[in-house]
Amino acid sequence: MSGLLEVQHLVKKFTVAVGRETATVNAVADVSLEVAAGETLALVGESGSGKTTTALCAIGLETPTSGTVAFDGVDVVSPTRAERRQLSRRMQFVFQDPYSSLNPRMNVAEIVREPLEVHGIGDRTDRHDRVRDLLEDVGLAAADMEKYPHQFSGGQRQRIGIARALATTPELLVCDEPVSALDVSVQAQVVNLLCDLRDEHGLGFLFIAHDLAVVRQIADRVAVMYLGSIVEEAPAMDLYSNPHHPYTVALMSAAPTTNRATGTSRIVLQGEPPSPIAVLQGCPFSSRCWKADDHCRSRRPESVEITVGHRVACWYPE
Amino acid sequence: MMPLLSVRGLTVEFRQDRRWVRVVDDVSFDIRAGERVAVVGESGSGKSVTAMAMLGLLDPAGRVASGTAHLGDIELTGASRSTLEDVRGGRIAMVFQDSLSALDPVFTIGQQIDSVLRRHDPTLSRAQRTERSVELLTSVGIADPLRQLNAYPHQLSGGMRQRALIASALAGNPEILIADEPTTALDVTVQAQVVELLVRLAVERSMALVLITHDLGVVGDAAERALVMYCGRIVEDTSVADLFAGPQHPYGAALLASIPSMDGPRPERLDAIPGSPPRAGHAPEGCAFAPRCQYRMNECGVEPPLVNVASGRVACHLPRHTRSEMPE
Repeated sequence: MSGLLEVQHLVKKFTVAVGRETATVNAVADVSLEVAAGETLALVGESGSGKTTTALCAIGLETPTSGTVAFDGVDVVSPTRAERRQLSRRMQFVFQDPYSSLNPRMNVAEIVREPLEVHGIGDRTDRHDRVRDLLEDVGLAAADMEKYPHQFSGGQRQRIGIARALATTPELLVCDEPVSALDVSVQAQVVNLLCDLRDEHGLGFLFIAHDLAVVRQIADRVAVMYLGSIVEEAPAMDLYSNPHHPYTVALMSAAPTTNRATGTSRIVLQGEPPSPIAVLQGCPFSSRCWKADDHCRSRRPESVEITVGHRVACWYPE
Repeated sequence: MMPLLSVRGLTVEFRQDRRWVRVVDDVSFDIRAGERVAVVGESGSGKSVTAMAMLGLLDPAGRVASGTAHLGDIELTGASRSTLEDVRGGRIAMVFQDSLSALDPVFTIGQQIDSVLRRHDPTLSRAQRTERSVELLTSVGIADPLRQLNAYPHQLSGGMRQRALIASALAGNPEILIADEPTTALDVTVQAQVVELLVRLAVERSMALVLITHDLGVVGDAAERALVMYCGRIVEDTSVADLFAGPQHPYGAALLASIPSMDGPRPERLDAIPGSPPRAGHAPEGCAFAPRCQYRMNECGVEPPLVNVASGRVACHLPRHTRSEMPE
């Protein structure tokens, strides 16, 4: 299966000022991933794990320090002008915060129509019809077209953002924490909506989230990131029933849940993820891992396929 | 036994577009010594405002329109500034979500804890205060406490800052610790550490813990009892065990059903709740949840009172225990 999106050995470093000195932040350290057409790959990890930077590089909004990104064979890192136009039509982004990602001075029709105008899709009447259809697709009424973002709730604003992202009929949608800013009682609606749209339009998703339960509901495959690296990658249901990397095990154990079986002990990790500024030798998780020994601290484990499609980078997988 | 904190009919209003909008509506509850209570609700449910109103910390645009909050003999809602200042950080302490803005950036952790100690026990000597500060940092799991006393807030990680904030809250030896979304800004693995810490401290010190949260998962890990709030009112008051086994109020039930699970088969779709929570001041007549409720009936146009039931209290015309008596 060849991927729609193919990321190979992606590295992204940032230079930051630390006092009077500068330091290098290793945001993404050698990440390779693939999203097939119509597939949902979730990137899971804590803040600073590099999941958002990976996604921004994948869609061409950040320039990688090294590595390659290709979308359907087109180079995303340094596309020609024509390619860039084409890419921005075929890949779209849904942001976390529905309050700051919509222009408050534009009404809903203008917001959703803008990508159509930018890409010169359809004439005036076509665009009007298309906007109405898109709003209907995401569960908004045609009467909402003249309203402004502040007149909507968070969930409805996220629907507007999704409608805008779908306007150019993309093949890949990158969603960065699309439900985490929403009220709990509204999250399920948006998760369902994303699933429905994906199934209807055969969309591929690169889905970034820290909420493991939401990811389990939506993802085909999951890649767990820690400190800029993918430490484990597997088909979703396989990962949740058989996590192999100690970090994945701990993450699942730490996730707050309303249906924890009584008597199950949970693993509470010590400490916090080390700063991505520090130069790390060995396994990135070794400073917090209960299994780590000198070997882990000095040598970085390669990602190894344990069962079909289930890869883990650990010297002592569970 | 007399409750430690007793809130009766607390109603809070905010000035908005030249009229008063009701944000907390007739809220009554008791907190007993050593009890761990979660106040659960979405944004705008009034959970934080309730706590702020009790402590006299309302934004200038807000006012307590009616109701009382008693801490033992002390009436908090009408109390003088000096009484409130003695209570805050003393008998009742508060921990906030954003530890970076809750701590003063120009003072070290040690100085901030020291100021609380000095305020609430002027008899302590400088050496005793340092000793207490070290004890406090140790009790919240900060390694190398003597050194960390000299650290400024920005030099600590988010998790460590939240621990330091908890330590300064404990400095006045509070009987009640109110923690407002204390783990929301933290990563999942760090969140688990802080929840565990709060529970341990509450148990060790027989301190009541009032945990304000939107996260039902955190409720299960931290609290024994839950007050579920919706649109400014308490809709259910129950043990956490009963809440997870089956809430009386349809809101709690719908919320639990809508959350994706971490195990078992994966459903085609989640059981989403239609609509969104009403904005403050835009609550419908009668039960505020009715427009989103699958059990809605004509009676719901009249606001249901919060009444006692076997599991606690519930404000619903058709709570679960009456539904199960009906033929399906």
